[in-house]
Amino acid sequence: MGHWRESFFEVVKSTAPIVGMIVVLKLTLLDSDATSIALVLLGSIMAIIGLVLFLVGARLGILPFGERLGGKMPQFGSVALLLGFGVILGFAITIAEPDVRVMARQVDLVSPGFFPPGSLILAIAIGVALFVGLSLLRTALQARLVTFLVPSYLLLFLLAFLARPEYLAVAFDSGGVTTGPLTVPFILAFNVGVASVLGKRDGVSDSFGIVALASIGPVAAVLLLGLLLGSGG
Amino acid sequence: MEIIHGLFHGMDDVLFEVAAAIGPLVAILVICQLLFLRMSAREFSRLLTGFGLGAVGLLLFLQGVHVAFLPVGEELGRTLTTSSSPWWLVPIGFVLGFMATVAEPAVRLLNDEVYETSAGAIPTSLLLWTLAFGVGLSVALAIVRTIVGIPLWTILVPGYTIALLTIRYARADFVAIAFDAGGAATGPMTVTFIVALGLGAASAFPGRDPLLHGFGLVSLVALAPILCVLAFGVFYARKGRASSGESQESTEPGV
Repeated sequence: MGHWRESFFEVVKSTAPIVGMIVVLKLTLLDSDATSIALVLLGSIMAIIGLVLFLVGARLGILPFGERLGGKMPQFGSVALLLGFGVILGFAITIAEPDVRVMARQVDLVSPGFFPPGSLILAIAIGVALFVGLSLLRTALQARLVTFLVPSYLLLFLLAFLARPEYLAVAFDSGGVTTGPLTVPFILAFNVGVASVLGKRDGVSDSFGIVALASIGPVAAVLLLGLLLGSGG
Repeated sequence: MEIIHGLFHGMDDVLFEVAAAIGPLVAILVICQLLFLRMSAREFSRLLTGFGLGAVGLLLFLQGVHVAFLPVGEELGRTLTTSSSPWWLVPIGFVLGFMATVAEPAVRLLNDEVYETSAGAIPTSLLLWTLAFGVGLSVALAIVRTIVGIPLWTILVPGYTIALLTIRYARADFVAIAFDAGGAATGPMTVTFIVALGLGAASAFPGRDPLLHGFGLVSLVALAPILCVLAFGVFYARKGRASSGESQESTEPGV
């Protein structure tokens, strides 16, 4: 059970600075009544225990499962099947991502009717799904990341130029919120698994890049949605 | 009593979120196991245990962040903006962004995968510091943006243009890691805590729409690590070229 020891010390070392800093700020600059200090301390302990459990769990379950599944998919010998699976995977985990729903709700709160929450979530999920598929295509073709990355960003710039400025901040943030604590490790490990079978040129550059492309998809989709809604109203 | 209540306040919402997020992954695990993975019962239950521990851990972690860190972030943003010296928020934002990234779970796991696939060739602790430095810078920049009121695109467009141009000069493995790092850095720690700080600042600052200025922060947090890890990769390409007298093939520049 080396996982436990290792993860425990890692978490304590990595969270001690921020917890210390928050306590210092609380005592010097902010309200420092006993109740709120106690809440900060107890909440920090809770977060630390949670982080230890999460890392142990991810190393025991989520990462090995992603790598194993990713390593298995290419063995069916069909690129179409791999891409199809990736699209479904991307869609399913994004719909479930809590941060995406939180953001859709916040946006609707500030400006009701600007983005109907359902259509925003759907656009983000479709964007992630298509770009996870695109990224797996890159891994399967053993293509360079730049050949996919540069045109994607140019497309984003074009859409950003066309869309109204109000849509810009929400669109670019949706790229960040889709990559949550469960999604990132899982799709990373999945692609590492796929690349371990298909990618032969260079282990590291074939294995990474999927999160990058998966966060471009939703930005493009939300900007497109903005264009559609903008021209309709 | 009050403390206990505060500590578990709103935990049912967090529980629902975690369950909704882990649900599809468990479903995929079970379906793939039945259809084609066919792991041994021991292997399968080990993975399920991992998923269970991960879910409980995420629940406690998110709840702890919500109770302990989020209110402090918001209070800090509000208090300092209304004080005589809002510029203090800039260095404090840098330090908090740096420290939050060091504690970010997805960043830890990205490091795991980098260490494993590069067989230890890429120094992951240096990668972590670079990443944390990048997020620190972007939080500082985001606070400057709130105080001065610059439009988002004047930072994003030049930022991404520089990133795309830098790709040519950085080592291929660093390019892929750099762009993934942008996604990994925008995890629950940074997003909840730092966005609270930004929202607090924007809501207290006269003439700033809190939500319009609160949004956009995540995209800056995603951009800065890309630039910093790429810069790190350029440095490595240089260093590789300088010592290429002994080994030629190990440092192919470009992508």
